[in-house]
Amino acid sequence: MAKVLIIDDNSAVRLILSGMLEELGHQVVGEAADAAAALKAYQALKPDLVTLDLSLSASGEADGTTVLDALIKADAKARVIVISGNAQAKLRERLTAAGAKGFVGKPIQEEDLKSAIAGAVA
Amino acid sequence: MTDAEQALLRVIEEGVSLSADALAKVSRTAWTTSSVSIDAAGVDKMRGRLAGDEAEHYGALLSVPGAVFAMLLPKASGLELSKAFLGERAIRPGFRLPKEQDCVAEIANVVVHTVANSLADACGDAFMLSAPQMVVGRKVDLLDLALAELRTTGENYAVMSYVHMSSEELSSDCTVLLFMTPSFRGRLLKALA
Repeated sequence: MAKVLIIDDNSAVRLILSGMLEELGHQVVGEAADAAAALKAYQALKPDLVTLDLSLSASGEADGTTVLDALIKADAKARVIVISGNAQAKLRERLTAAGAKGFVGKPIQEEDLKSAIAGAVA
Repeated sequence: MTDAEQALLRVIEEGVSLSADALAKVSRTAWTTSSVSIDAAGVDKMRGRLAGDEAEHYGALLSVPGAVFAMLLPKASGLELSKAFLGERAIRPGFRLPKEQDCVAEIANVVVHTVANSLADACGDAFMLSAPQMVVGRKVDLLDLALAELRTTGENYAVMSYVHMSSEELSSDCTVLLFMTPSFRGRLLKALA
């Protein structure tokens, strides 16, 4: 069982993801809807795993790649799985290079999530 | 039309055709594509096409500098769409539905990214779209709001694609529009040349 922090601006996604993670036997220790709350929550909760959305604001100012960089900078061992509808090949390459441990496309399928978590915490 | 222009239209067409599949997956319902137009159509022509529908719609606008993707869905079908999106969770005892607008935003996020991902991959590029900006109004008002997003760059724009899908089961329809500035279009054409 992993302690998981969910970072996504959309309440419906947080709800669905939270339900899926619990069904998979994990514990959701916190949720954050924006970049600032995400970093604060990570420091306070020290989760085993983070699920990170890439599009965190309608203005496009704070995106998930910035949060990923900040999390890795704060903790080089941070385990971050990116969950996004943005499955572009170039972007996935960049995310992997930046330290993401896995990627799950949207709409989220439980099997994909399970497999990404297994890979990230191995 | 140059080879690169033809290639760009082909890539957009491929992405648009995948969007109906994405919509079916995220709403757990079959959708029928009833009208697709892929060209650099004038905005007036598009406004004329949308002007007849006076019903309130949700509009989800996802942007990247130089381009705006818009998805329009009737507000009246928002609750049924949200329930379809949430699946069996929505009927569990004690379940508290999240905001309808958030469900619609996520549906738009998945569908629009299908088109954006096709474009980006074909061009060897990466686009970080904004999270959906949700607005409500008549279709033609939402068209103007989408265009206002592009006007901030001071450039002209063209409508590159229009797709209309409908679902009998949800009594709903869905319109996806893509607008881009000449410089964004030029970047894509250069990549495809």
